[in-house]
Amino acid sequence: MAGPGLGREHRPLAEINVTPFVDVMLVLLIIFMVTAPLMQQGIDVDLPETTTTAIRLESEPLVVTVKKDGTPFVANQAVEMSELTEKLKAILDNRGDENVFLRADENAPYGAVAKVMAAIQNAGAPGIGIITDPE
Amino acid sequence: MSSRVEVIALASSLVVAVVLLSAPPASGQGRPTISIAGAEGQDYKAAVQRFVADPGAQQSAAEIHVALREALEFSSLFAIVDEKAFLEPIRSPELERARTPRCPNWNQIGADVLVQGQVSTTAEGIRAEFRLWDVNTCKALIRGKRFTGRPKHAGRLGKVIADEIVAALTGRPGVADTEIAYISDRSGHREVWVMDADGDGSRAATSNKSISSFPNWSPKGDSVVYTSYRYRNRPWLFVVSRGARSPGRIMRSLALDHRMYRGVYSPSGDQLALVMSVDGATEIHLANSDGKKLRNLTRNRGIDVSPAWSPDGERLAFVSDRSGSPQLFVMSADGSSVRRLTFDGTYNTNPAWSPDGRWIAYETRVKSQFDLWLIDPSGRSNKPLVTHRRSDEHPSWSPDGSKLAFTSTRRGRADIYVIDVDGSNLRRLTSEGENTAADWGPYRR
Repeated sequence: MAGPGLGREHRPLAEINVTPFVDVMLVLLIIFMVTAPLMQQGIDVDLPETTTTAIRLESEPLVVTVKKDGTPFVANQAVEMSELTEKLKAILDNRGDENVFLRADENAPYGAVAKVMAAIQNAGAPGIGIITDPE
Repeated sequence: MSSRVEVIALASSLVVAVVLLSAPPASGQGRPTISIAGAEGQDYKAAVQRFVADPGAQQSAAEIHVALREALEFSSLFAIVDEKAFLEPIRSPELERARTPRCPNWNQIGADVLVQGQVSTTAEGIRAEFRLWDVNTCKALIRGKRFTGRPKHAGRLGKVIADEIVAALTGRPGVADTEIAYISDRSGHREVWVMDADGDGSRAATSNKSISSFPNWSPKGDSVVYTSYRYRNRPWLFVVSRGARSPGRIMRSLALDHRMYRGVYSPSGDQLALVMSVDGATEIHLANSDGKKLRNLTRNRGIDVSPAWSPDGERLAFVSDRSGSPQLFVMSADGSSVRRLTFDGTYNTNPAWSPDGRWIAYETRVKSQFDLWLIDPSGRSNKPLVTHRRSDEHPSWSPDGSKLAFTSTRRGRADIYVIDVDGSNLRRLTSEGENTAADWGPYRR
């Protein structure tokens, strides 16, 4: 799944490489970094480490997790990639105008992460928060 | 990546707002605001799983589901979470086997509470039981309540469950399972009709083929007193009781040359305030509900009508033209301590005292039509409730004081509407014929 430009698969990234995200950024999303200690989630993933500062959240955010094998989860529930947009749209309709937080395993396939980000975008989220571990 | 071309084309036609920041999301500028229609005042989001049912109770379960959702929305306290947003199954687990729900999968989709339930067939009919969860704390607010009924009353079970859910969150039951009596001419005559508080299930309570008016529920909710001209073409009081077919004329001990225009039960149900004409003077009287101990509460040259009890039964608001134009007055239930309440406007009438005693709703004439206002019984505070270029008349409070039913001609013909006491969530309940004089009944259980 991983494209040729991404470097060797087995070496953990020291930080988020922003360059490949440029494609996704072009889809008009407001993207921000969130550090992980704020998030209490059931699905276990290894998050990339970055040096962003923690942000304060007023309410429990909607979190989409991408596991190492590329499976997307909404909250603690695995959701088919093909149904992700529709599911997120229904949830966002119910929750109102809110950013969606993305917790992707640092070794998750780039293609899967990009598809999830596109699904979040298509579902109408105004922004995506990328959840990382503090370095 | 195949989507690249499309994405770039999209980006070139729009301003690209890419921000990589570590500030709170709320600071993102130009974020679109999604407003949810009708969400104002709805404090809770309720996810309602379809009740699991044995094969004989499938139809009842479906009816309960629809009625429950509608009744929760009718409370104005809840918005219902779309099933399409569910991460968990649409159908409830069987309650005996049900464990604590996976709350993150409910609160992440925006739900505050989760309703689960089960419908079973019993010897007598059906039994519905339900559980209510606060999915933010993952605690059961109602761990198990059961209601039984006949399958044809499945819809009512849904309303009862909704009212219980409202009670669990507010301390006060909802009013979905209450009834409104009113006058309709849809059959060709002005008869007393009764409908559920949300407008469902209208049924005729009388077939007098005469003129009926001013229905008023007994405080127990077992009967409605009303005025009819069916006996010797004179206005007199009748009572229609639940289950009884014949309308009974009451106050038979009183002389028929009186004209009895209206009867209003006291909160205890022991007494009736009467609007009665004796020798041409229309006054407010008080009598025991059997017609004994009749006495005048008012006695003056003006016309005194439209009595409305305070919830404690110690005072009455009424309308009098003794000072020239019809205005609201308040007096003690023995007729003493009369005090004028309204001084604005040239025509104020139809007072209705709120169940908590804090407000009197009434109608006031503006130009040639009426608006509804609220005044507090001391007269210090006076504020509009419903204003429209057409007439809004005859307010009646729901037993929890959260809503009012009233008559409006905003569609041309007179219809019964309900509105929240804050002026939101207007809803029309009737559609056939002319419908007037709504009287909201008490709690039924």
